[in-house]
Amino acid sequence: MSLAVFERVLGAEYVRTVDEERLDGVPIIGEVRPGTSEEVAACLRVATEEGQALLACGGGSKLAWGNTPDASTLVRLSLSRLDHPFELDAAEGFATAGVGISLARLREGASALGKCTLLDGPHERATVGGSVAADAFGATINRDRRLRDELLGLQVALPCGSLARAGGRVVKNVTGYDLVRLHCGAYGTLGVITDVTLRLRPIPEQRSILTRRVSSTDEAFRLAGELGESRVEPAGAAVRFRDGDGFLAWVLEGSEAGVRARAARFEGEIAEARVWEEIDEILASVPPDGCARLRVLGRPSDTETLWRWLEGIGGKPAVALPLVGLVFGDLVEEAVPDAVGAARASGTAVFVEHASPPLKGRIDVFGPAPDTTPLMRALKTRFDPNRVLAPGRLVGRV
Amino acid sequence: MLHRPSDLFVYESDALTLLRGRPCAVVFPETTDEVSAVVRLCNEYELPFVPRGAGTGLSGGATPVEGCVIVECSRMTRILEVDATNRCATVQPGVINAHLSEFVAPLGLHYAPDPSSESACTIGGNVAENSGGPHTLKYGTTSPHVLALEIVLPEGSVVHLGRGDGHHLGYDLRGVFVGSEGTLGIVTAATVRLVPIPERIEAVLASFPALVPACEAVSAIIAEGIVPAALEMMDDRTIAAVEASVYAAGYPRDAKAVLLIELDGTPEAVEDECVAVERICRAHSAIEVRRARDAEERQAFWRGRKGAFGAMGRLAPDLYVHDAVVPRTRLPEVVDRITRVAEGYGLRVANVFHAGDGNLHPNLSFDQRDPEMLSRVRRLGEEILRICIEAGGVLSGEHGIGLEKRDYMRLLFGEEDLEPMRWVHDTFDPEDRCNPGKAIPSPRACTESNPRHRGAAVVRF
Repeated sequence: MSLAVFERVLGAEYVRTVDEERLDGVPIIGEVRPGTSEEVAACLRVATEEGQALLACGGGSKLAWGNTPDASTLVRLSLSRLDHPFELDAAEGFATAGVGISLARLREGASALGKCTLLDGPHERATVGGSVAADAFGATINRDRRLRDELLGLQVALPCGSLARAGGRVVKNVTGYDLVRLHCGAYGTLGVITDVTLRLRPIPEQRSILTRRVSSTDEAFRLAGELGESRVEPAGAAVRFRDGDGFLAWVLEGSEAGVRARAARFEGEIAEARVWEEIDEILASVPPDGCARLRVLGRPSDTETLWRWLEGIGGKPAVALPLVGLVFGDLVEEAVPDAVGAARASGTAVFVEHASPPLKGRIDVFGPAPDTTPLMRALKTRFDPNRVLAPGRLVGRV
Repeated sequence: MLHRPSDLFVYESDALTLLRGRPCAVVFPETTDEVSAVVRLCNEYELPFVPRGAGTGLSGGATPVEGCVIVECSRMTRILEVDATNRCATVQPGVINAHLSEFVAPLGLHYAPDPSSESACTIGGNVAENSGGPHTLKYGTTSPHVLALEIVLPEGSVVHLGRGDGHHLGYDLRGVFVGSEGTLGIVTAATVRLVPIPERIEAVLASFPALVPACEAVSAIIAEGIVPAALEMMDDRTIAAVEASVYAAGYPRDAKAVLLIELDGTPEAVEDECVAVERICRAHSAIEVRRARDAEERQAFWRGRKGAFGAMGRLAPDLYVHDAVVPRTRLPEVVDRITRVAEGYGLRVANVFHAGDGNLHPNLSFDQRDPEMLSRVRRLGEEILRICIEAGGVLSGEHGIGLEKRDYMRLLFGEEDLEPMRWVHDTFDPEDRCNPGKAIPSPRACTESNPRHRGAAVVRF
């Protein structure tokens, strides 16, 4: 198709042809860069009219996630210009930011007011919108720290060309259906988020990283289990182990007195912040050539079993987050289809985060379709009847 | 099943008794299969059906639609599984909120969302309404505490939303379902999070000579980075009603406002925070600052707060418990405006609120046998919502929209905002059979033409 239809909406300056770029093998033929929410909505309306598939894109750090788009070509909808000054209200405890704002910039702005958000992750390019759409997280995660619980409201552009608001700017709100949660983790397949309001929290008075060296994974997970059941209540914990050496690390946040008291309850050595940053970097890294990155999911108490399962199929577990039941590791690509089959048979949930286009063409990266797939498909049809928003990317190739 | 008119009488309303409707029958299933079978039968006979927990809702979410079948979950009271290691429990929807906490207390755990009706309301009803409570400030409303749901869809099939391990892949249908007020299906099992019982709990009661300094103290506490477990405020009319009732808690009768502040956590942190809170209250002209001496006195502080709505029964035969949220810093001016506007209507408002998160409960005492007074209550109720929305607030913090506020949704949302909510509704319930007419207003053009959208309740107020 011709990109001229987008030029009529945005002007030629913000529309360009793209050569030789692909996502999972699907050619990206152009890029459009709307500067306002209204322009995003107009691009969606045009795409719907023309039947042109779009790929909403923030910093591009999570684009590897998701199934192969079900489209012959894609136009990249870059949201980088939605980076207008954001609003921080320290007294009310919220931040409203355009989706193109980088996490680093939001962090900087909030910290000048003594505040922070739970939007986390180390990736330089990561944006507010991309993180919300991908339901991204870093290593500092526990059962009480979930991004979706921190979102107060958002605005979303819909394929019909309208802009819809969900939620609000107050911290407590049960007004109508909670569509904020619907769009968090939807990978931009139901609408394109244009701004987000999320909770601001006070920067913890004290943040400490503690570690315990371990000589076996048995020891690491035994300690992780004790930590999880203790009254230490870490903000995050990670197991790192390779070549017979490793550690359990955990983060304590809170008042100085609180952190001191909790640190005393579970013996550990104070470590540099760098130790924890490295865990985050591993989560954000790309697997080596020929390997796929697997995220194995379960209950917190299953974490050791998940690690062993990944080892058992020939994978290399890199990091486990035992407070939330997650293991990340790499597996050679040839072994992935069998591994996905084995996971299905054993009831293990696996999300293949990174894989080559040929491999992604053969598997559903999210694993077996859940019993809600018909509902999800029907929802997609209501929101996006012409299937222009990243079609096929989500669970069950919705 | 109940079907005789005399048996159905008590099911004509939920706790918002101003709105009533007549069901044709009330059924009491015990299992998921029975719920599914009832729903399939309703579909076969084209009957609307309305899920109901304990009927403690305050927005008419469980008000019967004329001629509907009420699917009452009071026999679904089994606690199916408790997993102390992973801190979660799977329960049937009729389990009473406080019973779950009592059941898991020996494990050192509890279920955090605590509506004032916790001793009667059910987990299923809490899921439907996304219920909150005083401890929402620190622990959140029901939604963050729900990991997974088994539901019967409006056409009768059973599906599972979310994952018991708390991970999400795909659309967060669990998050959409929580708070959908029984319009998207019926919960038949819920896996909910449990949290450790705090090691130390302290309650501070501070009384103030006026509402404004009390509100300012609230903002100052939050600004200091302290997140109390609860931060509740009561005005002088509420104090007077409580102290004259069986719920008397020793609140100072000469105060214009009292703050009840609860702090929990590790003993060391709680002690520091208590000292800071007491300092802040004194710096904001508190007349008296009192820390509960022991658990008994702390419970007495709370008895007054939780009994406040009951205590207001002394003021008039009927009580309209309103619910709205405003930005926290706007509380003083909004409360002042509501008080003045109420005087213009010849009505008196008694305020109880979750001040920490800006959640107002202006309570209007009245006599519904007086139609003229009822009309004034209705008009004042609407005006209170307009005042809150003008201040940047929303229609409900924890009671939901139900029938009570359905037609006010347009004060907050435009058609373009409501339309995606209808898409969600129609995806789950294309026949509009499950609790029809609640929560989401019909498109304007369809209101008159579609008979299904009319007559949800026989009495509008």
